[in-house]
Amino acid sequence: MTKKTRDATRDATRGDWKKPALDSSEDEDLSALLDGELSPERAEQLRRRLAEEPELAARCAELGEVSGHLRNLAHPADRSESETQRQGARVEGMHAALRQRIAAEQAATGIEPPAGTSSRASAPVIPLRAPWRGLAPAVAALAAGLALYLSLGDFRSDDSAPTGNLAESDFSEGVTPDPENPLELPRWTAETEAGDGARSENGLVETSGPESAPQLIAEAFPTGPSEMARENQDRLAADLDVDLKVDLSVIGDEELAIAFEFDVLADFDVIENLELLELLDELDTLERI
Amino acid sequence: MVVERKDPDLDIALMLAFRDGDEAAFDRLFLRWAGPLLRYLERMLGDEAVAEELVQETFFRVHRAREGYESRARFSTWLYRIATNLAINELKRPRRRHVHQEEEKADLRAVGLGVEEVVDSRRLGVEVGQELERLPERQRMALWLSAAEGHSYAEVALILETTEKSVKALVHRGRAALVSRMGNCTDSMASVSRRGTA
Repeated sequence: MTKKTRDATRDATRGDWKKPALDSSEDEDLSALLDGELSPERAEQLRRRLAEEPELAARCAELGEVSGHLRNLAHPADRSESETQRQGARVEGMHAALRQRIAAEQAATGIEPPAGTSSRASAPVIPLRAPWRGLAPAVAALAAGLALYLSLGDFRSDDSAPTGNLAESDFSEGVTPDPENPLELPRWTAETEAGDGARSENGLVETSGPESAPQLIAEAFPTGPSEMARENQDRLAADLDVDLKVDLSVIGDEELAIAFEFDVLADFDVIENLELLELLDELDTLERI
Repeated sequence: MVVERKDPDLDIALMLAFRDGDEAAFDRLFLRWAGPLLRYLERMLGDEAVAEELVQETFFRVHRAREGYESRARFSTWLYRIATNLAINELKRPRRRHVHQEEEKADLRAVGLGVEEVVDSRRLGVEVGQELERLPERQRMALWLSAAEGHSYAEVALILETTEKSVKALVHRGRAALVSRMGNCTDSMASVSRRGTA
């Protein structure tokens, strides 16, 4: 309440500013006028009186000032950045807790999420890009497995097919794959300039086999090229000191994250998981061999 | 200051999409309304933690009741009605904490007495917030919903399950009481200030 308003009210009411000389219905109408709740006729009538009666105008100003403070409490105009951040964090926290509660209730009652939603909607958000560099050991392991896998694939494919850095001779001691049926593996290799097969959506060239790995990978990695993987392709190859035959850019970020972080598998589609697991299991078997 | 009003058509569209199974629409509704609802419940309950609990509970009930939603009323009216009923129930229970009130008192102390200017806007705002919490609960709710949140009397009547006429009276009584209490407060502060400088 400003001094001016208070003084005006005091003058108007001869010092007793807490009891303005207005009847209660007029006072109530002033309040309704401030809230825009009067009929146009009544509002116009009051506005005319406000222009002529300082007492009424002072009372209206008092009531309006309180409304202003209340609006400022509800919608603070001068909220600091830290306060804004705190408020945002509170809302996010409530949202996360609410989602957990809803998921728990749905799990307890066996209710499926409504149609049109996927499990991803309620799954915890998994940052896919930021932790890429932190996954270097897993990337290295997978890439090594891929390189090994490709080498073996090349070994049993046509002589004209390109080979990886791990040459056939590297495996000549101890293990000698049967060229006719070496490891029951699908026959596939990565596309290279020398390859003559048609390029699939995922950049792999199928050589033969009804259930070839390109099919498997195409189904397991349905998303398009990954900018992130493309950027890291050269770096990864240099780190591993191998000539990667698989273009990692054909694999989506989510799929890469899945491949590198088994913990997140539960958050994605079951079919993709199974196919990925099959593929990774095959790679694992190869590595052990 | 212009009271921020959210597009009611968008709210209804989101709620209908959610009713039809779009969970993302529910998330959007939450992000649109959680903040205002939190401030409302904080003012009604005087407790940040309890207010957060009730915001979650309100939206949890919205989630559960989605299939029964009909777009005859504004989404916000429905939302605030649920929240208000929860708040009224909460107010009947022994109050647990008054963190919010304590913080405001600390703010007020930080501002300090003895200034020569009449009363600065910030301190008055804090005082209005404190005095608001001392109003009878229905006056408090009606005044906040109408004057602070910008709901119409008809909407407030739906939220509080009463008539528009009662809302008009509740809002005015609450507003007039605050004017009176603020007058007392500023007068006493002014006299303290005068004594301090004498």
